[in-house]
Amino acid sequence: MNGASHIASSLSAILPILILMGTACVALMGDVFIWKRQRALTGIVALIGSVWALVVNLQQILGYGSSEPFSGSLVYDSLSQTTSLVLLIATVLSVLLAITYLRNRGLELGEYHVLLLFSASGAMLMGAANDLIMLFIGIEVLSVALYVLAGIARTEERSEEAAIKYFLLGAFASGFLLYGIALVYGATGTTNLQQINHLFSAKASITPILVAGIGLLIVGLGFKAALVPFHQWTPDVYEGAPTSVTAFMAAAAKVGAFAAFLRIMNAFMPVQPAWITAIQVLAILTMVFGNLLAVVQDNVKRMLAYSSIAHAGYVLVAVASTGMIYRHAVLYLSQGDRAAMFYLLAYVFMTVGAFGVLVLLSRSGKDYQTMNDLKGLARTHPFAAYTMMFFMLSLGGIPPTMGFLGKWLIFNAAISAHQVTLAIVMALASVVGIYYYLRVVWMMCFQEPEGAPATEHPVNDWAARWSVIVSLAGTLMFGVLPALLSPIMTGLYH
Amino acid sequence: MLAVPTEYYLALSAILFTIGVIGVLIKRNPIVIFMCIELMLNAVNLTFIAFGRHFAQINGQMYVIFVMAVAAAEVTVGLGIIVAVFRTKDTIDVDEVNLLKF
Amino acid sequence: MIFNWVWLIPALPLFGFLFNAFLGKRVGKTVVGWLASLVVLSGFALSVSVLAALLKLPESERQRIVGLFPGGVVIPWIHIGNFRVNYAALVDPLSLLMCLIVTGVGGLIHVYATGYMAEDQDYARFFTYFNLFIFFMLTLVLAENMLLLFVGWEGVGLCSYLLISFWYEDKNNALAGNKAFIVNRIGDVGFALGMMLIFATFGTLSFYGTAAHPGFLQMAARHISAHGPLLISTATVIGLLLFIGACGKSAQFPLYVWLPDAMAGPTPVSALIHAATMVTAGVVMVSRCSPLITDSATVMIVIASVGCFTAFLAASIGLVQNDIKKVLAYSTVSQLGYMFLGCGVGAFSAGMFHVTTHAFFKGLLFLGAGSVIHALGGEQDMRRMGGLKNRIPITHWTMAAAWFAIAGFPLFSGFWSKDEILGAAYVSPDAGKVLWFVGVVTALMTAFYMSRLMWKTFYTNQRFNEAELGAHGGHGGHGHPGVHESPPSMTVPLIILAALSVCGGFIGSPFMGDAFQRYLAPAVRNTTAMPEGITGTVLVLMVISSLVAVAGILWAMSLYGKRRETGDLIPAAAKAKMGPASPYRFLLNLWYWDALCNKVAIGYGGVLGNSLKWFDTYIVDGVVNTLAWIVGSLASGFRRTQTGFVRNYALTMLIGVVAVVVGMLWGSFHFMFK
Repeated sequence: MNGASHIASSLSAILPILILMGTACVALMGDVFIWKRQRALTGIVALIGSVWALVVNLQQILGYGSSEPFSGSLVYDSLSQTTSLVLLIATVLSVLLAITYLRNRGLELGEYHVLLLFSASGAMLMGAANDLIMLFIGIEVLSVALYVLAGIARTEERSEEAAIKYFLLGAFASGFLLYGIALVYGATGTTNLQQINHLFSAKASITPILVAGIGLLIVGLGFKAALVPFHQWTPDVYEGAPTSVTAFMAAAAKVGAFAAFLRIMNAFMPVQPAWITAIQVLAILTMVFGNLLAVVQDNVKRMLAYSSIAHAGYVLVAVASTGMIYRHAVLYLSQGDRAAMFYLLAYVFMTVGAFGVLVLLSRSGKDYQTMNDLKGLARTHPFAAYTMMFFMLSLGGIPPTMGFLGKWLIFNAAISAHQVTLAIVMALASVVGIYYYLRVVWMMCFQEPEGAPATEHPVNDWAARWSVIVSLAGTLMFGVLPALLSPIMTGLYH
Repeated sequence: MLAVPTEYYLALSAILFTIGVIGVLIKRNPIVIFMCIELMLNAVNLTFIAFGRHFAQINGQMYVIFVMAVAAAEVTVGLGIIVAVFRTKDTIDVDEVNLLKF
Repeated sequence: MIFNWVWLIPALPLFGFLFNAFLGKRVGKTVVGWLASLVVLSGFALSVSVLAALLKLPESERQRIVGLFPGGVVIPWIHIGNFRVNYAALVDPLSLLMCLIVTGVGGLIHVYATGYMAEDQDYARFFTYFNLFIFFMLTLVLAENMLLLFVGWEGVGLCSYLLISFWYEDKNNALAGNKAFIVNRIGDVGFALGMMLIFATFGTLSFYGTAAHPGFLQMAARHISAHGPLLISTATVIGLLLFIGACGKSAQFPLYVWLPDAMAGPTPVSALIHAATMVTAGVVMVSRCSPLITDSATVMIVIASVGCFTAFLAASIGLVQNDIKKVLAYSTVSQLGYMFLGCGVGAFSAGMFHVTTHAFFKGLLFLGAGSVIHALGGEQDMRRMGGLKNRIPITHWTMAAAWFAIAGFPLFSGFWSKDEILGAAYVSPDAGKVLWFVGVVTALMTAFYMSRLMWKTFYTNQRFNEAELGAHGGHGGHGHPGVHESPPSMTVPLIILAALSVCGGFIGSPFMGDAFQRYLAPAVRNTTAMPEGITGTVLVLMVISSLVAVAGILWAMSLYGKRRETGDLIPAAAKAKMGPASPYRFLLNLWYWDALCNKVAIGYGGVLGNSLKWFDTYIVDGVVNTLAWIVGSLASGFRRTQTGFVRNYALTMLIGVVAVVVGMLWGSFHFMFK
């Protein structure tokens, strides 16, 4: 293949990412030079761009193609396409959430949407990375934008605290990740994941440098995915950041991190004995502590943060059951990989939905935050209360929601991969989880509103309302009819 | 010709990395913490170059360029955040940035 | 291709449900009522066109699987490993017949309900449930596999409970809903177990499947399972479990007790759900599974005996009931018994034929009863009725048509279908003659109690005080003083159903060459049928049936004709003197069956329950609460680790890093230096 056509095909393969980045640039320029005072326009441009990218992404998925653009530094196959799909859904939902919310809180800044799009494209790069350096760049593009987003409420102490905590710890974790990359490079002489895989398939040799490198990679990604014990930033940052940012952060960072996790762990599949125990232990710790600590939270955002940690544990169970193979240039995903991708989509719908309800409820200058704020919500805000109820049921893994099905798929995958311990811990941890999710439902539906009824009604936020409705529709529809996803998520059902 | 063995570089970079990590843990000024993080990244850069030389590949040096670019972006954002924190709190001591907990 | 539009049949009521659920309160009653009726009636139009297309096909091809997604694509609903369930419909004579009944009779009852419920404040909620019911019922009858059928099965159950306790402010209504729910659970356990056993035996839940992957009915017809030949004992267990499910839903002995109580719901609900459609689901399911059911002679005998006994039992209880809807409820149980009798002797077509005619005349009877209740401002007790013949003429004449139909008066619809069942019982081997005889006695009782109902309501002297009407709550207070005929929205469905009750039976009569039976033949597996045409035996049986029906009517006429004043055969004073063992008391107390159930379930069951409650409170709860306490205190402790200091977090991370790296190195030590 000659150079020009290679570049052309490479560019068309990453078209969704290019569209996102291009939209971000257009939005930024427009915001600064053209529609200076019409901040809402930036959001609309971002929305159009992300929907466009979503459409292109769907086309790519339905085209069933796979390629390795840019000399194999990226790979475009069903895994990365599905990752992009999940991320783009999260992006569209988050952009919708933010439009009115930002104005409400006096944060109507054009760069918000620009950073969001850049961050999303970083996460998409992580899913498509076939080279550890590309992975690093993807993570940094994702994170640097998120650091700023976390602190976008520049006058609020909590927001700034979230930003600096996230930034310092994130950079610290990047150092470990990068060191891991360097060590793997030293052990193998390459950073290309496919080459690494071939190398080990030929002769599996485990050296201390390699093991340490893999360990540091796990740590670096584990930070982004919020695995215990690298999770401590999560509750603080989720609580401090503006709620619409939290929604996006919770979704995008985790999806990107787990896509990379799947990719990397599969590259190291031939040396699985070296890392499987670490993954298992981290998964158990994450599930147990995530659920345990969520039980005692009184702040809903903080509770959701711990719950997101717990969910990371569940997905990690799927990672432990991974095992995809290339055959005739077609990627065959194992049950574990498919379960992980399904769960991530479910996670996006229910998490963005749950935070979205909090966004809907926020009044000018104040967020709904504590459990007490939710008391009697079914009486005062029935729409918010009943949608929240479904998200809570889904997060708790109760049918007929996507959360239940996702959990069940992971459970099944773990059993077939002989990860019985993980499956059992997962089941037990989920039981604890149901307590705090149902507590929210109980507060909303069975408690009387506290104090005087709020005279100040939330602003009629149609964009956010639609975001929540779409999330709810996804949670329920794919919970009842998962088969609808089979033509879309090619990797899911072969 | 007497070449310095690769292990020496690796040991040096490991030591630098450790110093960076310790600095992150014991310093309270975020700017200094951040410098320590930079030290960690640069220790890794040294590792990359050492391995690149060991394998006689150009890749190692190329990666360093990537890392430096990324680090530069991080610096910009980091300093911005630190300034913003200073504006809201009139201090940048990380031990006083402690509203969010438990 | 019209078959690609089958998905619309259930989708339309689903749309109606969603629309009414979300917008019903805003758009006003007119839109709600008409939209709800229209979606069902368009489903009827669609079903008719599908039927026309199906009849054009040769008999062997009258079985098609079409997806229920828009466009008719077959997409798996669940696909895990080798467990694959399609969200698809099986379009064949049986499912289409049921579609026509559900949408046709159902549509008429919707129209009727727009009038009947007009004054109700929860109008939108009513039609929301009603449309949801139609959706689930259509899912049930169209289902291509057992699991989808089960979804519909549970769905109609849900709607049934919701509608029984529709007027939930009255505690009795809520209790009736509870009773239906609990009794049905027993049946559903049987159904679910049967379904699981089917999957374990045949490896599929699809009824007919495809050529490459045959469904379990095809395999059962060929006496094979997924693991070799099909054992008769397996077929017996599956059949019995499924029949337990059918007993729950179709109110057969001993699970019939919920149906009479279910009359607490609004009358259109009784007509649609508890007479015309849902309660026949058990018969439909048994007929659908006929290739499997007929594999076991035991199951067939059980079905026939239970059906026959239930028919007799319920008819006898119906003789003494005073609530007009209760009489009809027991009559429904009795008629359902007939249907199972038909299925049990191997005449599934006859059973389904009775389902069809029963939908006409029993739907009509309930709607007529509703019209009477409407006219009397909520009165349901026949002791306070009478003399309504000329006051509400349309209701009277249409109900009279249904009366003749259910009594089996010659040439009316019920005559043909009941005769078909009794004839099949007569010619069937084993205990056929006994079943036939009990059936004939039941027919006599049926004619009698229906005539009693008509006399008490219409022909005896007026026994109510017109000024006091509406004092009994329920449906009163709508501004029309005194007895009045119902509005056209209620009478038109009555007239249409009356016409069907009179003539609807001819499609299955020998005059039309048993058209109905031949239409249904490809979809069910009949093992017994009446000889075709009008031959000696058939003629004799017909004459006996006719005589029995006429005798029942005349007998009642002569008895009640003499007591027009009170409308009571036994004077109240005489009743009071009767002991509990007297036949009247025995029947009035429902053969003491409910009392026995209560005694066993609440008496002995209560002792067991109380000891379990103690165990639950102190042992189970104790363990759970202790665990919860441990979790809570652990959590509170670990919460303190989240200090909020960024440097602490970094330290935790570092410890994690060291642990991971050192642990991994240590763990892979023996890999590295082997």
